[in-house]
Amino acid sequence: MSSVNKKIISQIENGNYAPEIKELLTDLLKIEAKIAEDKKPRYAEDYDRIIKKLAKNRGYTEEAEM
Amino acid sequence: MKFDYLQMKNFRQYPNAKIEFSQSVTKNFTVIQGVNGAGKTNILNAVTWCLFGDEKHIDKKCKGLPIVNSFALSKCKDTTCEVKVELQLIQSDGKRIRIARCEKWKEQNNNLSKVATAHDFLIMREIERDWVGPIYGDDAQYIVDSLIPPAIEEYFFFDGERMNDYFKENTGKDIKSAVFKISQLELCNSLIEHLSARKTEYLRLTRGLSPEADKIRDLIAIYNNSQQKDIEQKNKLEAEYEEAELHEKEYSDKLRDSSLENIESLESERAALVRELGEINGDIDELEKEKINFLHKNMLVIFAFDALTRTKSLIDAQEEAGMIPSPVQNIFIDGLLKKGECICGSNIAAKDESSCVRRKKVEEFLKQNELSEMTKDLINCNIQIQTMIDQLENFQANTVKLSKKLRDLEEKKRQKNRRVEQIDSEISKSDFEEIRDWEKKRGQWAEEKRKKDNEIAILKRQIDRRESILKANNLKLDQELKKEAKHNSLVNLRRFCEDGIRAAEEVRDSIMRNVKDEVCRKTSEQFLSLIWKKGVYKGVTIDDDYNISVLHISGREGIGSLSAGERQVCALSFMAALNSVSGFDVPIIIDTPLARISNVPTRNIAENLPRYLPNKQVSLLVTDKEFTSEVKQTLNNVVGKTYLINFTEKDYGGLSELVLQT
Repeated sequence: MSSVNKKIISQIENGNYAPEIKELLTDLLKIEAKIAEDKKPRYAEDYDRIIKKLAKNRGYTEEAEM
Repeated sequence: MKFDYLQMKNFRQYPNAKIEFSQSVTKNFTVIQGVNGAGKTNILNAVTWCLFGDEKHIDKKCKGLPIVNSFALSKCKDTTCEVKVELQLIQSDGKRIRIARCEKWKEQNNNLSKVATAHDFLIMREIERDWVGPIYGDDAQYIVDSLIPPAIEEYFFFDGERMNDYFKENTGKDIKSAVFKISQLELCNSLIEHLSARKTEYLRLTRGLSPEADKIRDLIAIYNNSQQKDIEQKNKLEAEYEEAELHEKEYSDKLRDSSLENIESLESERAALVRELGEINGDIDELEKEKINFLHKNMLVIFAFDALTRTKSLIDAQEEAGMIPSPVQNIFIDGLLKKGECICGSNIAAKDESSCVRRKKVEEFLKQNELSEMTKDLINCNIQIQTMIDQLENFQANTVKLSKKLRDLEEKKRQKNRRVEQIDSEISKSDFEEIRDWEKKRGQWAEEKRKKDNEIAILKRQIDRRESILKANNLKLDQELKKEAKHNSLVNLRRFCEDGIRAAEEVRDSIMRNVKDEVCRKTSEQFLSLIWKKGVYKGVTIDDDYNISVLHISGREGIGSLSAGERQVCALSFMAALNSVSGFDVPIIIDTPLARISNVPTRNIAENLPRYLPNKQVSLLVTDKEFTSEVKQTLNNVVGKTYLINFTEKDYGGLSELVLQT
């Protein structure tokens, strides 16, 4: 399942969400598709990287590095 | 995607057979014709075995028999005999993929055993003009699964004969699961689960940062724990509810299918009444919610009504008594002073005494008139009070209207319940012991279902209430952590995750709704054009619990009274609808699509099926009885290739060969 169902992506793109949330969901879905394809059980690092990057863009985190 | 060919070697009754599927765009149907037992279903099994290593459509007769062809095995004597199925696909970009699965068997001293092989599953891919591979085992399986997910293969390769029982065997939950699978929403669920885990991890990292925050977090942990237990208990109860529902349906079906007395019609009537009662209960719940929301919205005005009318009468009295000055704008008086001219036109700018007196009066008036700014607010306020009082009068009328609607629905519910009770009693008094027994058991399961339903409702309320408490405590925790700037980032990461989870849930639910609506619309459309009884049914609906109903023109639910053939048409319509909204480009194979359907409808289906499966490569496995000259003629324009299965019964089992018809 290397690609995500187009219906899910278009629902996110057309939804009334902040751009960072749209980007977050799209990026995480790609990771999920990769997990399904590779049967890769580890996801935390990829999730952490994306969440921190986008949360920072959103102007939420002044000092996101922990 | 299309199937190019399927080659079977020593697979069940096929010693060596090859089907080359029709590749034509217009003549996209391949027909494989054979008598019962000739091996039609084993072609379907060869496809699923090759793709997933599982014969998903194996029938009772073949279950337990070795997959290897008995004749070939007998010729191998002490050497191994290979079973092999090869399926070649052509992807939409024209590139081919060859999938092959094999097993080796050996018979020794009347003992049949499978011989281990290094590579029993492989694929080859065509890249540019070269064949690349082989790719073996799990890696090969991932590629196949990404092309045709095994979880949804049943919507592409299915047995028409079993379609008759599809809605008997599948409850709303299964239909929901079908919609879920076909929409690939497990990705959304997995995302929500993983994002929630990250949120919890960010919460864990805040431990030890503030004693007050630790207290709140411990409280949240306790609530979360209880919430988890309640959710598990609710899921368990829901499963028990479904089991009770299944048993109730089983006895209800027995009663409806009985040809005794008028039990059949009574049971159909009761099933329709129960469904209608479900809808009425739903409407009552909606109306009650509306009424409560309406009360909440107007609550303040109701409680403040006396104070509002008293305030209004005080303002009105003051206004009437001239105590409230007219709202002369200060800017106007300021203008007079600047201009040096009184409102009467006399000069107030000159230095003479009378001018000075007049000017002083105007200035005093300006001072007094500072009050008029407050007066303006008071007058505005009076208008708003009047609006609120008017709204309350509408409130009374609306409340009466809502209450009347509720009373009407309650009355309707009482009448229908009375009729259900009458039917219960009539069936219980049947002269036939079997009927009385079935009715008793049906009643017991219905009671069990009702009990579970009540328990679920109580738990749901508890879960909702706890959810609000959890939400409030999470907010409190955030506020507590935010007191220290250094904790901000953790709080914000948590919030970001929460927003992401909420959005993902919305996306998932919205797709579920949309796909359900689309499947419902397409099923209904296809059912109405395939069904031969025109003007008898209004259409097909799928309710919020994903239960399928066929609506009779009278408005009554009709799925229970459909004949076997009609049920098959309904299921066929549902399958075609699911298939068309799936977004997966997979060829379709239908085994005995017209088995239970008589002549006229068969022609109807043959005419309409190609219309509902456009641009799809379709293979039909048919018996002679199904593939009549009329059907043949009707499908003539879309059938590109026809194969005949020649079957010979031998001592050691059957042998089949495929012959292409010209």
